[in-house]
Order: sequence, then structure tokens, then C-alpha cells
Amino acid sequence: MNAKIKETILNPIFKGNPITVLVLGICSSLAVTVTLKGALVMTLSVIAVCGLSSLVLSILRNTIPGRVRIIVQLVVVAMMVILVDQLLKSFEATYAIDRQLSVYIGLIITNCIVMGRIEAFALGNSPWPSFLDGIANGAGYGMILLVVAFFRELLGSGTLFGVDILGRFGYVTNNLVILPPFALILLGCIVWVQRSIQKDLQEK
Amino acid sequence: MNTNNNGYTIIYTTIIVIVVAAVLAVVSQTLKPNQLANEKADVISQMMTAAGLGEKAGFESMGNDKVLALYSESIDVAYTVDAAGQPVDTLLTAPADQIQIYTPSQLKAIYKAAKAGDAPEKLPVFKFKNGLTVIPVYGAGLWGPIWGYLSLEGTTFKGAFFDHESETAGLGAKIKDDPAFQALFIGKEILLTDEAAQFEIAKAGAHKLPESNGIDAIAGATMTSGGLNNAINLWLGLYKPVFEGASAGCQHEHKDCGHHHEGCEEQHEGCEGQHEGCEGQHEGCEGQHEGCDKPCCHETPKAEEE
Repeated sequence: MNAKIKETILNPIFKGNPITVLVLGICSSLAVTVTLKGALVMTLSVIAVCGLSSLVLSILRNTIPGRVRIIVQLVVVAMMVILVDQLLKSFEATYAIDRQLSVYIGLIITNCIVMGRIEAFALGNSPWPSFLDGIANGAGYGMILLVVAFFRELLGSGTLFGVDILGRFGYVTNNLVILPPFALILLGCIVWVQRSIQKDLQEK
Repeated sequence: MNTNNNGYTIIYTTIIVIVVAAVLAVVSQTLKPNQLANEKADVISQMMTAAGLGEKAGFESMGNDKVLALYSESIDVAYTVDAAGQPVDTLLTAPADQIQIYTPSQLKAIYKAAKAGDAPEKLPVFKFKNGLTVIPVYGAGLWGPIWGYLSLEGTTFKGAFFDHESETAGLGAKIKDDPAFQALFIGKEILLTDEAAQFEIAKAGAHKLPESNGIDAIAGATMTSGGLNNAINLWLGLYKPVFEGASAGCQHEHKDCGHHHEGCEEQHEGCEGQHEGCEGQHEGCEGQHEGCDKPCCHETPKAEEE
């Protein structure tokens, strides 16, 4: 059991990463990776939504009527997303970042990772592993987000977490990096790196 | 348990929706005061950014309390005017928990009324001690509402800050994120003589108004720029009486007597001296302006600098 739990946690981080292997959640990973701060808040939000939704739906899994299960999932996920959004809005430290992320917090509901993991895992497993699976998938998503945001903020604004890094060496910021297409290019590079390490992902 | 019959399905979904609704209602009510406080501090920091008192990011890292305190310190007077530019109410500027401002949702109400052709009952005017008047604008961008604050000295722009709900990052979102765009406003003039357009945001080379009455649109953000253009013109139109008063010289009331009107040649009742071309000097003015409970404003060191 222990090995299985370990697998549940570690698999989404690298081998079965939701972004680079399952290619889910691409939209938001292009949109919210301009700054590390935004990416970090997004990461924590997705981890929370993913983990808690999986937990709740796993507890309810034997009672959910089969014909409306997607709707029931949607209601629960939507509730979690609204809760996260409301919480972000009510803290001084996160209010500005919530305004900056604007619709993308609300759009976590459409993030395929959340519903995908509920369908694929939470509805067939007991609450504790489901919770861990949700958290781990959120973390796997967030890890890629942070890597992309690291390069985009460093090269696009010359800063990291808003602290000037390259600017002091006379670095001229690159506007292309700030625009979404560059995130896609970066993401492509990450997939490339992963596939060259993990040969079994390559199609024959 | 048979979870597939109709009765069970209906009851189950009903219960789940009711439970979720209840949870959200409770959470929303509990967090509301915090959210409103955050919104207020945000709006105030936007106005202060427009008024050139600092940078938006700086205000954000300051914390709400300090932002409110700084506002109370640097605001001179805030009040509302009616459609004819006459003062209606005074807006409180202190203490921190009673500061009255106009949030985007309140601006939206004015915007909707104006769109429907109704004259606004109340328009907020914020006068800062640095001599700048801040007015709001609100309108429609490409994906959602856009709003912001313009700061003016007389009819000359001295700063601007805009915000939006969901404009495209990197394009339309530049109205908020790009200080260089906001800086374009500085030094531009409102064109009071033109009925239709007081200001213009247009593609370079497509300007119809004189250069000093407009700025270039954001490349790649035609709809947001156009929306901002419409919003600014709509609101400058609403505020026209205020600016006409400011430019024609002392035609409107000196509310709280905190402002220095350039080119004012009128005499203040009860003031022993004369405003000589109103260069900031009251010759022999020792008393107070009638109806004004502040000491003569022109004697403060700030006014003498002017």
C-alpha cells in the first residue's frame, strides 16, 4: 500500500505529468506564467481545488447517481473554485494578485486536470489516496507552471518574484517572452527534454 | 442502493445544490467586509497613482492601512457634483474606516444611466493637495468593463491609471500594466470647444483632433483603445461643466476654499484684499473666506509655492 501511495504522489510530478505528458491545462499555463508570483498563487489554488474536489467526490463516490455524475462533479469543483477565489480576494496580500489573474482563477473549473483526475481516479479510489492524487497532480501542474514562469519573468521582465535580477546588468527586456506564444515554445522545450529522458514516451 | 432511479437522482442533485449554495452564501457573507476593504484600498491606490503620489506596485506592498492613511493625508477635498457642475455632497476623506469613494460598481451605475441618456445625479470629484483633480472613467473594453482615474490640473492631464476586468494580457491589458501608455496622457489637454470629442485615442496618423488633445492607441488593441476612447469622452462630457468652470475662472463655488484657480479675477466676499490676477497672493487678506471654515488657504506654504 505504501509503495502504491508513493507512486500516486510521484507519478504526476514527473512520469505522468498532467501538462507535459497528458497535455492538460495548457491554456492557463500559457496565461498565468508571466510572473512567478502569479504562477505560484495559481499553483496553490489548483492544488487546493484539485485535492479538495477529489477528496469530497471520493467520499461521495458511491452515492452519486451515474447519469448525473459529471454535473455533480462540476457543482463540487465550481464550489471549490469560488471558495478559493473568495479567499484570495479577502486577504490583503493576495487581493492584487487575484485581480491580476482575473478570470483565470475562475477558469480553474475548466482545467481538465481537475475533472480528469476525478473521473480517472477519485471516483474509483478511497478518499485518502484520492486526496493525495489531487494534490500531486496539482503540484505536477504547478511545477511546470513555475519553471515556465521562472524563464518568462527572468527574460521578459528581468526580475524574479518582482526583485530586479538582470536589470542591474543592463539587460534589455524581451517583449516576446511576455506574450503567450513564448510560453508555448518553452512548454515545447520542456516536453522535448522530458521525452529525451523518458524514452518510453516516444512514439515508434 | 439503486442510485439510478429518477427520484433518487432528483433528490440527490437538489440536496447537493442546496448544500453548495448554503456553503457559498455563508462564506461570501463572512468574507465580504474584508473584500470590500481590499477593493477600497485598491481604488484609492489607483487614484493616488493617477495623481502622481506613487506607483501602483508601491501602494500594493504598503498594506491597506498605510494606503488609507496616505490618502487622508494627501487629499484636500472630495465631493460630488450634479450634472451642472454644482457641488452636492461632501465625501468623507477620514478617518480610515469612513472614507467614501466611488467603486467600479458605483461608477457602472453612473455609466449605465449616462448611456441611457439620463443626466447623472452625482459625480465624484477628488481634489488632492498637490493641486490635481482626479475624476473616474468607466466604460466597455473588448471582453469586459474597463475603468480608471484621470488626474488633471485645470484642463491639462497630469496622470492616469486604468484598470480592467479581462482585457487581453500583453495587448489590451496594457492600459493597466504599461506605465508608458498611462504616461502618454501627461501634458495633454481636454478640448472643451468640441461638442462630440474632448479627447481622442486613435491610431497614429488617424487623429482628427489636434495633437495636444489626443494620444496614440495601443497597437494590437484596437477594441480596448476604442473602448477607452469612448469611456474617456463620455465621462469628460459628463464633467464638462466642472472643467468649463475651472478654465473660465471662478465661475463655480469655492467649496471649502481649497483650490487655487488660475486666472481668477473675482473677489472673494469678506476678503479684504483682492485676488490680483490670482497669482497666489492675497494682498492684505488676513481673515477667512466667508463660508469657509479653513484658514485662508492662500497663506499656507503650499499655496505660496504656487
